[in-house]
Amino acid sequence: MRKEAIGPSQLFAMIVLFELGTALVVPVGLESGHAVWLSILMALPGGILLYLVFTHLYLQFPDLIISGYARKILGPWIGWTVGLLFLPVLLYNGSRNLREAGDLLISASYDKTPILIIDSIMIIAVMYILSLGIEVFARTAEIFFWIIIVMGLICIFIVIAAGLVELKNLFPIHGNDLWEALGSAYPNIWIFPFGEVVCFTTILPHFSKSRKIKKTGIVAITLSACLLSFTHAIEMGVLGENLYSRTTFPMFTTITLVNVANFIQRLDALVMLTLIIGVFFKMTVYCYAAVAITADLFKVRDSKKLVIPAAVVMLFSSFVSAENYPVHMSEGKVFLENILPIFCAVIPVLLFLIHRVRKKFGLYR
Amino acid sequence: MSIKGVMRLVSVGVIVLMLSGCWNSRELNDLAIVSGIGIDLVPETNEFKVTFQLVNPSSTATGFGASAGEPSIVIVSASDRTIFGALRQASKRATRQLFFAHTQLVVLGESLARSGINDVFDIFERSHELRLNSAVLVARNNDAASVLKILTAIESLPSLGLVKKTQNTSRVWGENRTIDVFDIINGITGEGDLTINGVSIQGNASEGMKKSNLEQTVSHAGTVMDGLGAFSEGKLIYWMKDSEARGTEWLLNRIEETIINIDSVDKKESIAVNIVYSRTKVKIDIQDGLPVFHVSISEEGIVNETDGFVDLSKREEIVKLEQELQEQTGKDVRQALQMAQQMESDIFNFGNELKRSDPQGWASLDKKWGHIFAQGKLDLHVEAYIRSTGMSLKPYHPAPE
Amino acid sequence: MDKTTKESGQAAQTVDSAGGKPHNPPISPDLEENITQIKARLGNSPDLIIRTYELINRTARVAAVYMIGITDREMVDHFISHVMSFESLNDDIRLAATTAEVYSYIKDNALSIGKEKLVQDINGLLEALLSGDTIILVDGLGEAVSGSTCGGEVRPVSEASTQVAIRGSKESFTETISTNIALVRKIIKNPDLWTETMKLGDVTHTDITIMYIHGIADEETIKVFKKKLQEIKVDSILESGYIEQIIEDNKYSPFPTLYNTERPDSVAGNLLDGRIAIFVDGTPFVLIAPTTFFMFFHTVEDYYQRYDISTLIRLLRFLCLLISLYGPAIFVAALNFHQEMIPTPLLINLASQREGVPFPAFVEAVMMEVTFEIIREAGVRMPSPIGQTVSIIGGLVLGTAAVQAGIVSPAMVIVVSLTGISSFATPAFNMALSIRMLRFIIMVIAAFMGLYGIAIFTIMLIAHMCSLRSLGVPYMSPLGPFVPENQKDTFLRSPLTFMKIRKRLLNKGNSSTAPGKKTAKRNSYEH
Repeated sequence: MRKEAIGPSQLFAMIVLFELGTALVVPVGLESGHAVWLSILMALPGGILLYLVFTHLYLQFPDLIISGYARKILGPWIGWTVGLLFLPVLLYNGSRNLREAGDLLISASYDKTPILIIDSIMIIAVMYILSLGIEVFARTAEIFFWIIIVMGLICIFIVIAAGLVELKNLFPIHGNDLWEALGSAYPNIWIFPFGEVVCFTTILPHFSKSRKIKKTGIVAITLSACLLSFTHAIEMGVLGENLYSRTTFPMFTTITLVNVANFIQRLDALVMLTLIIGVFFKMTVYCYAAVAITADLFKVRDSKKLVIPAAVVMLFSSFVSAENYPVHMSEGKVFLENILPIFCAVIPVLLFLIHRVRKKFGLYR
Repeated sequence: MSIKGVMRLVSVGVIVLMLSGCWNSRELNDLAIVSGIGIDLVPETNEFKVTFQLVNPSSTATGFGASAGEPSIVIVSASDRTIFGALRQASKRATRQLFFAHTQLVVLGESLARSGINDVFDIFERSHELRLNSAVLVARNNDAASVLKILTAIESLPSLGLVKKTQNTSRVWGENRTIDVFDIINGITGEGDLTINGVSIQGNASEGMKKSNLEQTVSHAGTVMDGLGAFSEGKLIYWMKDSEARGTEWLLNRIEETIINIDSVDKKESIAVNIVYSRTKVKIDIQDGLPVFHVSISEEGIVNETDGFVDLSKREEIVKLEQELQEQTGKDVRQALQMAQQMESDIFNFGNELKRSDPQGWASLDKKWGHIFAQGKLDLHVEAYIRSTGMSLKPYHPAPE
Repeated sequence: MDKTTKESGQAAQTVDSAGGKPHNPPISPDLEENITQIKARLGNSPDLIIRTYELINRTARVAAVYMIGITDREMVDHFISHVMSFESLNDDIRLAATTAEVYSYIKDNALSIGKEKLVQDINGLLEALLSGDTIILVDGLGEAVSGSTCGGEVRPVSEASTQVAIRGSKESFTETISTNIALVRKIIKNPDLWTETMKLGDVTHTDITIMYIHGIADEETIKVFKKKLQEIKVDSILESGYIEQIIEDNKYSPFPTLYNTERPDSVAGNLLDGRIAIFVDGTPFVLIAPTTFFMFFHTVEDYYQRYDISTLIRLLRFLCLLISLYGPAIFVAALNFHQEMIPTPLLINLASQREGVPFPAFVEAVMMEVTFEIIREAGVRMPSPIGQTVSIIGGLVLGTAAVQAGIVSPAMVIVVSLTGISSFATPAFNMALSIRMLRFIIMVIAAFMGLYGIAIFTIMLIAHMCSLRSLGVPYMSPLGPFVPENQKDTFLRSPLTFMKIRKRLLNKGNSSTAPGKKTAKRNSYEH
């Protein structure tokens, strides 16, 4: 089988869609107040540094995914175990995204439809696209990148045109707020959504132009940070700190307030579409990452065979993991604070450091 | 892809579609569109009596149905301890499932407003169907149900008519502003208190329910926007009107357009100035433990009517007018503030403003803000400009000898 | 000159069926045997004409064989007389000549006209004969001369009927392959315009010609394409549609991956973009490959009008695509699932319209769509004057009556007719058909799952489209993969002076059949 290749613009689109994913719709940075937009920007440098760690490792081992070079760096046994540990985390995180999308859909419109159906329809789409291969997925991402941008612009334009944004809600920023913003930027926003880019370590080996890898990723991450920051600033400007912190889906609440000329109102559908697309791409990346790591660890030649099991696991864990949305959210908090940083930041950085050390002292055979 | 693959895909698709049924599918014919909700308190049982104004689609203007004789709305009421309970109770009386996504108006009965509205609005935020941008009114001296029952001329949907009335008068008269559920929730959760527009019924309420009421040039009964209800701690305590109400809007920077009548040399209130632009800036600081409200208003007006003689071609006259305007505006604002301070109810969002600009200062006052607000001082600056005198300079009256 | 025209004899000989594999004997030296053989193979068709001549005082016997109807009478006569001009030679030479000399004279004379060739065996002879050639057989020689006297009744070049352009050439292709090739040659007068011919169809022996511009079209793609054509094993090729369906990469896709046109200027334009054209004898529709999805929404006229209006019209077409794909689906989804999306006054309006309509919105929509399809199909199949009447009666009378009877709501009639009209705005008919088909699927999904279903289906649909390739060129390019340069001519049509660089993807196709070079090639266009 020929190796599937992904071009820079495709990687760019994938990263942007991945970053925006759910982060656009759910509140990010659990504790930050009205300076949430600032927190996002503050987390950006950390996100970029993390990405540089991933790319550095990729450039050292251009043909290997994370579990592959973990074995090279840490030795076959420890490396294999570390790779294995990634699996549940990736699957669980993917299932969380699915859960969030399912819950928004249910609380927004499909209140009488079982969540199993809603989730499984999305999972079927994930299976389908992954069965077509990562290259097709990348091309699809490229197209949906434009769709998301256009829909986002429409949403933002309408919200602004409706005169809902009150800059008063965003300013002024006092000294305390800065510290608070920093506190929520690290590690929370740094990990979600920036740290989650760790999934792309499984996609990078398909990248066709390693020269451009740093630039592509950095620009993509910066762009998505700006978009996120801008969107959340608008949400905050419309809802105010109080409501923003209370509502489960700020973007959804924001858009329901829109009423332009008594005709353009209730654009919930646009938000729903944004979320569906975002979650879809994010989940697919997670699913792909899990499949790729499994295939690598267990030496499965045709990794497409693993798509269905991985997707089904994701589907079931999405509604088995929490009884209801509040529980899901509190679990998420624990997960985000305790487990995710280890996999998104600690392990890659450790790999990076150990690799540097081994290389410097010539410890590789 | 082989033919097997295609078959697999097709069968998966069919199964999924069949499984999904049409759980959330609802035909338009099976929905009763609620255009207005009225909430009253039944004092004896402490229940909510919720009244729904349902759209009768077959008798709206474009209807094809034969039943053109029916009124365009139908009223259904139900009582329960919770509002949602009442919504569902209504199913006993309505033939179709109530559909709330298009609720234009929420009317609160005065008795409910007097006993506190803070608990009412949670469902609006929680439910995906009820919308946050429905307008809210308080039925002055009445219950909400009666207000919803009154038919409105010209507009086929009375709720929509009331919303339009609110918008219309806010736009050109300036004693009210459009207040929706979202504003109220922000008011309740914010630091200050809130105001809600009042609406009252004039005339014979029982006549107003009949369609025949609309078949004459003068209706027997109609709804009128009536004052601005000031709330304290979620309870209606005072009805503001005229200059108090306008002063409130001025302090809230919500004046779009308004009319100020100014005395001329020989007649009282004989020059009508249409304020077409107004902007209010509020800054609050704390001096000696008491807040000082720095309010600066700049307004622009057009002279639209003069009764007595005013020679508007002269600059001095215009300057005089401008000074009068400033005075009038200041009077409104002072009256409003005075009234609010008497009630110890910060209906002007001053608390929020202080909290935003000076969180530490706010922290020291937070507990007893209502009390402190009442002792706050006003530092008012009004700048008024006359931009135009319309199509003529001098009036056709001769100058008084 | 003695001349005996013999009508076909009564040689009753069992002949292998055409479908089988008739033996292929060489042309025998015996003229009589050859004639018998030909007659037998053609089953004594009355349109076979055999004229025998005896030259040089009956020492050399020569036969001219041709089919009446597919040959041009004047050309046949001209050809025969040219060949037989031996008779008019000086007696000394004439009488002294041996059969071999006569034959070589005939051969030289015939070949000097051009477009003549020698055939060695009966099958070759028959093939030439059935292509409209005239065959000269000489007694005593195992060889024959064939001369192209192709002719017969042909439809003249007329105006395009399916791809009408307000501005631009009025010529369209005819059923004759040589005319069609000539029409393109008249536009591109360049030696690099290369053609290659082959015959396909075991029974029909249809002429197929590939045309491309050497140096612009990608060599690899041409090679792949030719291989694909050569691998075709079918009895008959009646129309270019046969070839289209056989060589399609993904047969289970609803989307066409080959473009067909009857406009020479469209073919020329596509050739200049580096595409390959396939001419099939007997049809005015020329296939073009490779294609991209967006190509189906472009017309040649876009380049003839000024860029601003062309751009707007293109955008309009894409809007029409969206309407015709999603129109009824979104309407049904909004009515059944997302009533909150509809502005209040409109909702009340719709509700009052639907009051009394006995069907669910979805049934109503499907009913109207099917009715529309019936009217359309009937209108196409009817003789054209009646076809118009059918559409008018169907559209106007049925629609109005249905509304007045209260069976459907007027809004639904508006939506359905709008989608119907929108689907006709797609310039490529085959694409319009695919979209129409998909519309029904999306409608069903919308009825079950509302907008969520539509969204998921759209994601899958776009993923599917991204997975398609036409001769190795990704179907969704230049959007996925994104080719910035080609954006000038995808949704927009920038001024001609801006489009100096030829579209990239096509002259450097990334063929899926060239494994090793994949990465290198992609880089060259994704740069």
